[in-house]
Amino acid sequence: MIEWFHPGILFIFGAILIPFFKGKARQIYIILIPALAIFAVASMSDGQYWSFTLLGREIILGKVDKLSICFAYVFTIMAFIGMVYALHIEKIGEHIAAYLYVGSSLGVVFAGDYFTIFIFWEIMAFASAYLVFARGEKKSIDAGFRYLMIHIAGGLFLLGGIILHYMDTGSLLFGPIEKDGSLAFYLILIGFILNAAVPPLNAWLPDAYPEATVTGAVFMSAYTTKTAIYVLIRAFPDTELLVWMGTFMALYGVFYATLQDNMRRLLAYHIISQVGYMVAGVGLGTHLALNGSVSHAFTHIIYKGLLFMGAGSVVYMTGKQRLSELGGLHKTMPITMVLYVIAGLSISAFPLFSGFVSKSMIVAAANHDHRAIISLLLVLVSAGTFLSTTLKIPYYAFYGKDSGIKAKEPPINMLIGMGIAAFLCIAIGIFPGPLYSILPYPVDFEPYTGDHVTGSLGILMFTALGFFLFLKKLKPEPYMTIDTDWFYRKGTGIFMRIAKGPIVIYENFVSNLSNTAVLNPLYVLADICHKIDKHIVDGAVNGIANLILYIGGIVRKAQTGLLPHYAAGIVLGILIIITVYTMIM
Amino acid sequence: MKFDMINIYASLPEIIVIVSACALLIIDLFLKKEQKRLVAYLSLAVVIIAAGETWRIAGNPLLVFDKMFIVDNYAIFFKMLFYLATFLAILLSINYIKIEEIEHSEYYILMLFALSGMMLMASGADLLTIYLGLELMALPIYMLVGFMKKDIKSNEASMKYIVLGALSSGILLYGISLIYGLTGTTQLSELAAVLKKQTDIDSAVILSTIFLVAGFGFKVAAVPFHMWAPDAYEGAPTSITAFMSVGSKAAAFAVFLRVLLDALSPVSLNWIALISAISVVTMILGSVVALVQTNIKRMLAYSSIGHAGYALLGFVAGGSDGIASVMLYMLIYAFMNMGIFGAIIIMRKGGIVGDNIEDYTGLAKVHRGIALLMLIFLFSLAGIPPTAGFVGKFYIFMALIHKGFIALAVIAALTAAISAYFYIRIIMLMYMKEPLHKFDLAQTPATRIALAIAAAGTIIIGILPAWFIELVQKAVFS
Repeated sequence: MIEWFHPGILFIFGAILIPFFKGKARQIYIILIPALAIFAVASMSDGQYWSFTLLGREIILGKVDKLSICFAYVFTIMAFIGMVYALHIEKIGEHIAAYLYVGSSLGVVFAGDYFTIFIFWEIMAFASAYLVFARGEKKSIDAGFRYLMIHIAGGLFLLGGIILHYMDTGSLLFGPIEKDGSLAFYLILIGFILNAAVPPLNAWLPDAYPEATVTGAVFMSAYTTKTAIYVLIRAFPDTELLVWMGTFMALYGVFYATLQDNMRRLLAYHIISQVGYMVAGVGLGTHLALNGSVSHAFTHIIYKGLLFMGAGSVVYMTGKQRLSELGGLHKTMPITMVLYVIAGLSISAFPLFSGFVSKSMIVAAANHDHRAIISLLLVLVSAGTFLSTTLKIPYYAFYGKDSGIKAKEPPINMLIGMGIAAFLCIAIGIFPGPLYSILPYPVDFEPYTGDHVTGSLGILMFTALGFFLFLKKLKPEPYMTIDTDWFYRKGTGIFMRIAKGPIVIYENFVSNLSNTAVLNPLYVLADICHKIDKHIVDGAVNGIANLILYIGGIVRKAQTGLLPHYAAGIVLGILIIITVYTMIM
Repeated sequence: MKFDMINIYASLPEIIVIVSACALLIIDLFLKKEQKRLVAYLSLAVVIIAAGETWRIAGNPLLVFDKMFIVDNYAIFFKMLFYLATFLAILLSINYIKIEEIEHSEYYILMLFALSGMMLMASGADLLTIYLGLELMALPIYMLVGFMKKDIKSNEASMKYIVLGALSSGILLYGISLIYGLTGTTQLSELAAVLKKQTDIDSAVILSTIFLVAGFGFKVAAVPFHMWAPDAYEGAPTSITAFMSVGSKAAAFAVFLRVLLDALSPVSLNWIALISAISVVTMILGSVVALVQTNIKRMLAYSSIGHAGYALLGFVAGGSDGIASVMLYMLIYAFMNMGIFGAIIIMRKGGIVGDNIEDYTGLAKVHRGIALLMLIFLFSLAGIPPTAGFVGKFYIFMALIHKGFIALAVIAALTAAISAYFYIRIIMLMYMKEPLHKFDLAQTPATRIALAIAAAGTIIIGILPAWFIELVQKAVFS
């Protein structure tokens, strides 16, 4: 009996064998490996495995504890669901890339040292970039290339940080980093939060995900950002900066999501928003908050996968992903719609759906920590999420004016994949026990208290009411003028929430809110960040690339092809060296 | 000098190669036109026999021919590397030179002579032996570069290479004569002993060091002595480009390492800054200029310049780790570069020359296997894990960081990121675009074997680096 088997290696080596199978055998093979991986995760126990020394440094491939097992569970489960969903794909390139991507994510989760993390981190970037490229359209190839370049740059930050960290401490072992404000600390943090898509380092995500293949986006929504959350939990718990970054991120994502017309782009912004919760949870750093981040990552992977599967089914069957071009699909794609709405209710933290049991944990952790503003803002985001994901997409894609598109339900394997995910969303929502039992710290939290349930229902119902009132008023161009009105309506939602708490304390603050003293500046800040991201960060990346090309063009001209010039070059080189030496001495 | 049988014993591999090459010249006269290919197979056999003989005499270090010729693990490692390069280059040549219509037996015989020169360099324990080996290697290669007699580019490349090569040899010899005048010896370890005793370093020693660095820098194509490389690489038959970019570069590095880190190590403070500067400009120029190339052989020439820059970093790191890291880098470079040139060679058939980067557009749609192999080699050249190229770079960077040269390691990592761009650009073209034309690959069993060996090396070193690192660490000269 093998003591421990690395599920990531199972995927990576499994990928190599994919081309050797054809037809039905391949279909069985590609869902067999994730199934075996789930089994491997279920049968492992804490400890340290597969470690050896390379160049005098310890390399640990298998550091197993409750945290890594929990992430490994959801990664392997999602791999299974995603593979079922992608079963009909004929091009094996996508399967291989997805396998490498999942395998390397698992590699990060079980890594015990920075070297291993870095290697798998890079493989992840390349494998996932392929999922964007594979769509084959010019837009996606361009987006994929930008995606790859940004991640290579992020990888360099990480590598730089790792090297400096090694210089400082003499150890490559992966664990909590001392918050000494050193360069190593910030470089590693930047490397990690770039993958978590924390603004202003987030542009790659909404840029690349909508351009990925239908099945590729399902995988991408799950692994890159959540792997980043995992490493943040390990290395940066209880970092004040992350609390604010995460909260800002949650707001930022939800604002931008509301303004989108492209379905998958909208969902991509929601990833940023939801990951914001997790980042905030990591920053809070209490046991309750970390449990919240882990459980939210767990539920998020499944419901976000389901959302992308639902939107992907629409794209797959109609070839369109702009909401303004869709409509009336409820007649022809009813099953897809129902499954999609289940995911929508989960992401908006509707009671009895999975998002509720995990998101409320982070909000409660913020409350316990006496951080009223944070918890308030996080609740607010929930309402925005409900508005765009659960109300807007279903309304405009599945109801609304009939676009006359004659779509059919997607292939049966896609429906089964979605069905499994939907089942998990509801099952976790109703019976959170099993999820809580695999969390890293003991759970002393009850989601279904009267307060939680009525509070959430209240805010969600009022958001829905607002949406339908608003819809009638602005029917022709529904999403151009959402912003100001939207804040106003949120004001009511906040009132409902606050009314159940000590009104007196919050009164001043809320009136400030409706005067847009807090939110408007935040919105402006979000806009500035977006501009910085688009023009300065992206601009700098492109600008440097162009500059280097330009220099290359000039230097190339030095290669004249004339022999005397070359000889002169050599002699001149020697003369310069001698001159420099004589000057030094 | 007392002549001893031990001299013959230690230099038997060289004797085998040279005598067989001469014998092949004579055998060739008796072969009919359609039997000429036999020379290629016999050359392969010579390489294998010489490798076997080298393996047999491995073990105790031998210093023979009046301390001018050394057979230690270091020399044996490099000789094995040359056998590998020659073996693969011959395999890749058999069909290619027929397509280029230059199928003459002299081609293989010149390669064997060049091989003997490289072997002599690796075993050189005296500046004069080293110089002799250098010329013995260079002369056949000059001829091979210009082997496509009807091609004007090939002629031009050969001409340039000869003239510049003569210039660099002159500079090298001047450096050697200065050293001899200053110390009274050209034997490497005696030289080190003399220099160690001098408390006050003569500025003429530094001058001669500069000349030696310039001479060897020319052979490894380090900036500013690199200008011959792009022209020669582009003009030469592709199989020869592969042979010289791997074999002659490794040979030059072998002697460069021995001279700087053995004989001149007592004055290392005087050359470390020089080598650092050269390596930085070499890395930057190599990767930046490669970006704008449209011809794949020229691009690989600049990439090869860039790789020489990385290897020079190992000199800066110094010590046994520094030496070992350069050796490992050369081994890895041999596999991945032979591989990528092999892929270019089989593109050459009929109308397509396979020189333009655009020629590779959509290759993956038609020839999945070849495209995958190219992907592996290009990833390795770019230094992306888990390929061998990453291991090579990582080992050098680690050795550098260990000695505290952080800034150099950072610059190297940045240029590596730039260079990733042009390697990945080819992959993009192969995988993401529709083919522009029909592909007709010149695959034969021989090229398949060569590519398989190169791919196996690139992958195995990438996945199991520990064994190879131990191997090179054992082969470091003391």
